[in-house]
Amino acid sequence: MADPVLDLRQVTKSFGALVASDHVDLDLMPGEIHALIGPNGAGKSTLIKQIAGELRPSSGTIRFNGEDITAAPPARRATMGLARTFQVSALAPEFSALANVMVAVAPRAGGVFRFFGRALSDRALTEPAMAALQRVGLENRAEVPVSELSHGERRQLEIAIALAMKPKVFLMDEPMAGMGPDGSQRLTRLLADMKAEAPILLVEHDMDAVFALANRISVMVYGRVVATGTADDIRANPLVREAYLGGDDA
Amino acid sequence: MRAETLFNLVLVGGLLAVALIAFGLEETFTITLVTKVAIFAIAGIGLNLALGQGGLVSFGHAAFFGLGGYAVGILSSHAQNYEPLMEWPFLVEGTTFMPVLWLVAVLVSGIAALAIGAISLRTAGVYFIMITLAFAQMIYYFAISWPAYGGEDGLSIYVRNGFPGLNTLDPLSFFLLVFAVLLLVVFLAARLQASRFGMTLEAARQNALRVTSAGISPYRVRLVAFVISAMITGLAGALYADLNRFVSPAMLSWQTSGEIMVFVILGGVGRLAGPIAGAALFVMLEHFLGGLAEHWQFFLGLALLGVVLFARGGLAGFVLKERGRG
Repeated sequence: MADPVLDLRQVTKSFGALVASDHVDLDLMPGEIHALIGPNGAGKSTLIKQIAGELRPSSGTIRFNGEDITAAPPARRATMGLARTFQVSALAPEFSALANVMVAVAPRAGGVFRFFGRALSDRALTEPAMAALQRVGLENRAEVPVSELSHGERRQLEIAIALAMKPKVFLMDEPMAGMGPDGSQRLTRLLADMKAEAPILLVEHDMDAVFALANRISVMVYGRVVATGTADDIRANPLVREAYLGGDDA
Repeated sequence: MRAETLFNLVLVGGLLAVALIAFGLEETFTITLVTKVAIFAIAGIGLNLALGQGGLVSFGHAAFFGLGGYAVGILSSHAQNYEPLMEWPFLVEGTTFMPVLWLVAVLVSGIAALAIGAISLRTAGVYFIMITLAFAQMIYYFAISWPAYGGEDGLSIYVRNGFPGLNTLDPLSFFLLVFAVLLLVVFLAARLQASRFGMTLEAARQNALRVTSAGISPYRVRLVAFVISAMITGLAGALYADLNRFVSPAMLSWQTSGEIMVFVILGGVGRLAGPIAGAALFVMLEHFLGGLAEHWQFFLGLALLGVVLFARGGLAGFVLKERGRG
């Protein structure tokens, strides 16, 4: 078996008495979509934040391609190839969609410490940025300021930014949230396509999308991973049905 | 964007025109006033890079303005008194040669900003404002209590320093020199604003997470911006020392920090030529109202209040009738 791209061992994060991550073991294999599901407050976003470097685990280790990144700052992890999309969009609102993607392209196309040339006419930035916008279907909205984009378009833009980073792992925190059924379907196809480029750790509430996409699913409840397996395993797991899926959802 | 370019040209052209007309009318004092506007504008452009583009509300830019001034004052006073700055381990003499003085002023300000910024930029918001103020006050009190260079009384430069090919004592020649520096600074600031670095700095102001998750440390970007910003303001301080032929701790005081901020806010935060408009307005208010009322700052306060309440984009935003930035 291949080595995991992302490997969490006994990751624990406590805020006072609250244990948000409780000895979590989780890995992400090359070429797969690993979905992380669980009820609200289960600690999924806290876990994503620890992987991205926004939060430091209280204990445990996080390895990325074999390298221990438990203490690495977020910018360094992004440089190493961790691309993240946010539950609440993290975009520069005054910038156009294109400029937002260009900001993410710059570190990989010569660096940001260039003080003289015009960024907007720098083809080393605009071309990869346009290509990424095209993949998510935003090429006609490239010049529109983010503040005028719809909610769904902002989600697409987040993904375009992640794509433009040419990452080794996608960390996606509820990319489907607030998308209409059409949007979700389009996004599902895009994600299926993206996993060929890099594996995806997907936090998602949209169960249709999760069951359609995920190679493996992990279920988190109260900070602990209670089950990991294929879609069928998870559907059949009585513990999971009780804790999360309930009667009507499965 | 087109309208803004026109606005910038009108401002810069207006500055030159006023100086030339004043020269024709032999109004030497007016030339001095316009020179002051140009110097304040440079200081403001420096701060605007940190404040407008970077969102870094520095309340300590007087430190760099004053350091630039003192760099000129100290070096030229040594040269004029024929006293070397130091003799051991190697001889360092003062100089009255402006390009060297400017270079030293820019370097000193930049190094100070590197140290101050490295610490201050670990904070944000009100704490950043207060810590930059605290650093500037430290330097201010140091200048007051250091008798070697005049202490509280300040330091006079007997003869304005020289620039090759120019008689800098002639008001118009000195103005044109300052004006040329202003044009260069505006040009560099415009390029910087549109560059990759400017784009990243702006993005970090709008949403630091955007930049971090792209693999860029906002801290590093902001530190570089802070240093460049301080260097420009330090250059303005060097010119101001030569305009007045005098430097004093007042250049380092928090009032000066506030005034530089006023140039930026009056003119339009984040606007390329905003500080020129702001500095012009400030000097006009100071001159005309100062003649009418002793406490002219009262009216400056009213003007500021008006800008903050009714014209958020400052003079530039008001004239250009836009809310966003170009």
